[in-house]
Amino acid sequence: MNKNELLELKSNLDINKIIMCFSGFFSQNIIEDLGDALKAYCNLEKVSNKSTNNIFSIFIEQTQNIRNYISKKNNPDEEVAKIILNSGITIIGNKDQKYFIYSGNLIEKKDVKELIQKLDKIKSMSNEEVRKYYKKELMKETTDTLDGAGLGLIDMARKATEPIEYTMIKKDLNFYYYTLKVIV
Amino acid sequence: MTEDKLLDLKKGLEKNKIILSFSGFFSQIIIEYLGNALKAYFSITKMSMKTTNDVFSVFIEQTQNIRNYYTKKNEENEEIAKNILSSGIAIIGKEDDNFYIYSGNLVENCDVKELEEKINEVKNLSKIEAKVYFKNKLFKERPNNSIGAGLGLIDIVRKSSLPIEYSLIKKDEKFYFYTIKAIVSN
Repeated sequence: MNKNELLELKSNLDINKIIMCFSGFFSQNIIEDLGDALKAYCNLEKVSNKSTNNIFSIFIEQTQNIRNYISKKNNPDEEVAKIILNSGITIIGNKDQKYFIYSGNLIEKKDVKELIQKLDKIKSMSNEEVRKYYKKELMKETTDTLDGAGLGLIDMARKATEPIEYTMIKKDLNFYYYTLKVIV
Repeated sequence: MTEDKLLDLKKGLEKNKIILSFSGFFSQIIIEYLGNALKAYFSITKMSMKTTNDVFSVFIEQTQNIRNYYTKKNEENEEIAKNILSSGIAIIGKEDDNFYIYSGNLVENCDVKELEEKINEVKNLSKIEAKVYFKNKLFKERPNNSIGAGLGLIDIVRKSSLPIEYSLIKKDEKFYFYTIKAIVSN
């Protein structure tokens, strides 16, 4: 990678007002340390407590979802798990007084349909509906069999100040690349 | 920021094999947490202790250099110092089998010449020469008006497996943007 490429990347990060990004394996320790750095940043920037907590918990939710997606799979194929875990990315930025928390990871083709259904269901709800839905799901105590993204997703939608956005892009025969953006 | 732009950015990050990047205020605590995350990453990816320590300490040196420069400038002019601190960026990524640690920050016009002299003095030293140079410098007192970055810079040269690269690009009447890149082999 030459100097020009780095400068280009830097200006790309600048234009998009990126604060922090991390790609790769999201271990528990890494999530905690990055979360702490994020909190320290919000603290320095004098972000309100409420926003700080929302940014922090969405960041945790998103990165945990990547982790949970693998651990909750039945009969996890180690090779597949490794591919998914290494595909993780998180980007946090600040644009127009808003913070966006963006995450991406590969998901197996067979899980795409159910995830899209969940996402679309949440996206179609009003704020009030999301709040009620969240409470209802909290009571249920059922463990999510697929990817554990159920309650986490609703919680993010609850904290978001704009509708959540997602993309699902086919990567190859086995995988799709899934991204989620939440704005606070 | 639209989805398309984020996907573009993601591609850029992937292409450049970025592990971690951070832009903005490098407070002591932020440096520490990011450093911890880096260490955790290296531990999981089963990197040798030597590689881990070298990447970690180059990252710490680079970000501390930004901080130290800020601290010094803050005594002269708070407004300028603030500009400098919030301009900071650090990027750690993979390049072939090696790791690169890249940092950037604004430097005031009046400090550019001294910085460039310092870099050129140590840039082409071999690892052994840098070691000797480092030890000699350790015992010398720093001149009061120095912009710092002396010892830290040599330490970076010592740990980098290839000559360090730097750039100084004029930003406006007041500032240059300074970048430095070190490479640690695995």
